[in-house]
Amino acid sequence: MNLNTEVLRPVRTGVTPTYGLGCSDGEAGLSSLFPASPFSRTPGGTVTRLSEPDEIRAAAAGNRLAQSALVTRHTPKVYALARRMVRDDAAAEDITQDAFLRLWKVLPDWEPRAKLSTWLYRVTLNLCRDYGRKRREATVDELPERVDPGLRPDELAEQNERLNALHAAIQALPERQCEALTLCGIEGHTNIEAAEILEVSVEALESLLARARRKLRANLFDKTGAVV
Amino acid sequence: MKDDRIIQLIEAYGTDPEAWPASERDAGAAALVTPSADVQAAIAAYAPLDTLFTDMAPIEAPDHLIGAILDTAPGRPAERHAQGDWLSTFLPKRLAGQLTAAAASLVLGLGIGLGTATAETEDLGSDAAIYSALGVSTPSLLFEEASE
Repeated sequence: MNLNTEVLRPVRTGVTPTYGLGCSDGEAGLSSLFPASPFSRTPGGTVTRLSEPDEIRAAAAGNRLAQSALVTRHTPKVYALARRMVRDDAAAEDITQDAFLRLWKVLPDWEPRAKLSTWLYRVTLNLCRDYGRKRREATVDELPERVDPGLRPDELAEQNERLNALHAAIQALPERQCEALTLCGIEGHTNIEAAEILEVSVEALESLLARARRKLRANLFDKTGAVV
Repeated sequence: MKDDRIIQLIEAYGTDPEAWPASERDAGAAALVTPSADVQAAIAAYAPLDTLFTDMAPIEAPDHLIGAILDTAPGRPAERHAQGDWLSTFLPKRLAGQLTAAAASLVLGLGIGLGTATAETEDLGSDAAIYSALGVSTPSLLFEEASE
């Protein structure tokens, strides 16, 4: 199996992955004991991760450690994207779970035409669009984005007000501009990744981003740069 | 890098070159060291928006979500075997489904067949009772007596 050299970082999941015959993850000797394990230890003692195709094959075969690695790696970004798009915690959780349910279904027949992450984000955006269409008429409570203990209550209120105005302006953008901005401008995907997810060229993505940001600037700020 | 392109990058990706496409990052950052008046104006126009974006808090997935997702993950072959999905561990999914359907049909057919066979046995039993009432144990004896 091909190994890349990406070093695994500790995960903050609270979930103990299992592998092989259901043992708890003890790290040592993983590759020698369980060849399908998504982790391997080099002679120098560095734990490395399997290539994505190998990891996908192991996950499809029911390897818990591979599944755990996939879920742990992709859930935070999938959830964050869903949460930014739908602005509702419970709905974002449902969408994230639904995206992975779809992944489990396609995993046995997975053909690596696209990166798994790209596929997941596409599915997530589709689910967000479905959700958005269903609740178009419903109003959503504006949730404060950050509670900064260093701010006075009036400053905090002002910051929340500005951020809520920003969110409202982003939500009011045309769907594709909103998605491009969320992926690239907020969630930090590269222009190439975002273009792949949205299935557009990099030039088209750039145009979406520029139009979105122009509209935000026009709607949010007056000529002095203060929030309207 | 020309001013037009720098302004396009600022409009699309923001005033921080770190957010620009990797292929243009270094050249763009170098050009920003001594920006033209037009580029300065673009920076001034978009800086407040970028500040607003940086105030947005990162979103973290709730702790229980990963566990909940893993609960829905497909099991290992042994687990699938226990759940009756063992054929799909070594056969293509569609073929496994067809074989399962064929096996179910076979079991159903056998069940119906056995039911029918039992009914016939019962019929034979009731026939035997009739023959017994006629004073013979089997139909052949009855026919033998008739021929005599």
